[in-house]
Amino acid sequence: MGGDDNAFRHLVERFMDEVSRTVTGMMGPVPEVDDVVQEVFIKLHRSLSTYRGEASLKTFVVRMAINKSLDALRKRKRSSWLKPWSDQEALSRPSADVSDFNMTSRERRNELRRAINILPENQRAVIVLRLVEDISTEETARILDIPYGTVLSRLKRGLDKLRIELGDSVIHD
Amino acid sequence: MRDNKIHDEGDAFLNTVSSAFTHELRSLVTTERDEAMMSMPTDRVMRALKRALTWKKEEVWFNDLFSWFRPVFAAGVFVIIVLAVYNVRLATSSGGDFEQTATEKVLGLPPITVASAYDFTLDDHH
Repeated sequence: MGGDDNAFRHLVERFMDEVSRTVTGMMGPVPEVDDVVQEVFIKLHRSLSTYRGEASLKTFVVRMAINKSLDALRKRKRSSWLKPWSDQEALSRPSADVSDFNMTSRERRNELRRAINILPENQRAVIVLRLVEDISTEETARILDIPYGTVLSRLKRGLDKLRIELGDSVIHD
Repeated sequence: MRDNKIHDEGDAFLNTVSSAFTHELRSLVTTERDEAMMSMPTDRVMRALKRALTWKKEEVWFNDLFSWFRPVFAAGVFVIIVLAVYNVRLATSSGGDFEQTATEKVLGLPPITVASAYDFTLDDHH
């Protein structure tokens, strides 16, 4: 690779935050996050030759992160059928060691994550891109390759579900 | 100042979403990311990329194809094994002269015996 190696390393460093946050937003704090992030960049490397600059590179990369996360979530669903109950619980439980956090913030985080995980994947993707990544609605529509109006309706429905789960006062002023 | 930047008229309803909630959401994802990801992610990505580049294109294509069709592939192999076992059992099942042959069993034909050859009630095949 040589010079390409350095150029690609810069690209990885440039987009690591966006990709890792998008993948975590979609999947939660699970061990697969690391592998999915790597797969996104490997796919990016393979696809760079076909990139024609029609969309911004960020759109291109974040779209890959969303698609790979959705693939991984589907794979998890399939494999969870084959796992015993005890393993399924471990899969759905946040995996991280949270010993330094106090109980309240940990519970609050678990509650928030549980509410996000309840959302259908298409609404979750819109919430992650629009609210977590602060990507514009138009750009979100381009990334997900759906009409602008669909982004708005998924955003509204997703926020409604979060409001039901977490309470109106948490989400709205 | 609000955190939910309103980029156009359509998403003006985001005005009602509290900035504290957006903050909480972002901090949740950032914390989870820091917990889920191992250290030096860039180096690990570059190592994984080098490993991936050493695979031949055909291998990657075959792996993609195989993983995509894995359930179909497994079902196909299962059907082939069942058919093979069925055929072996048919072929090895020994019977007397009046026993149906494997072909007769598969096609559901009556056994051909000397008696049936002279049985005029049986339709002949035109």
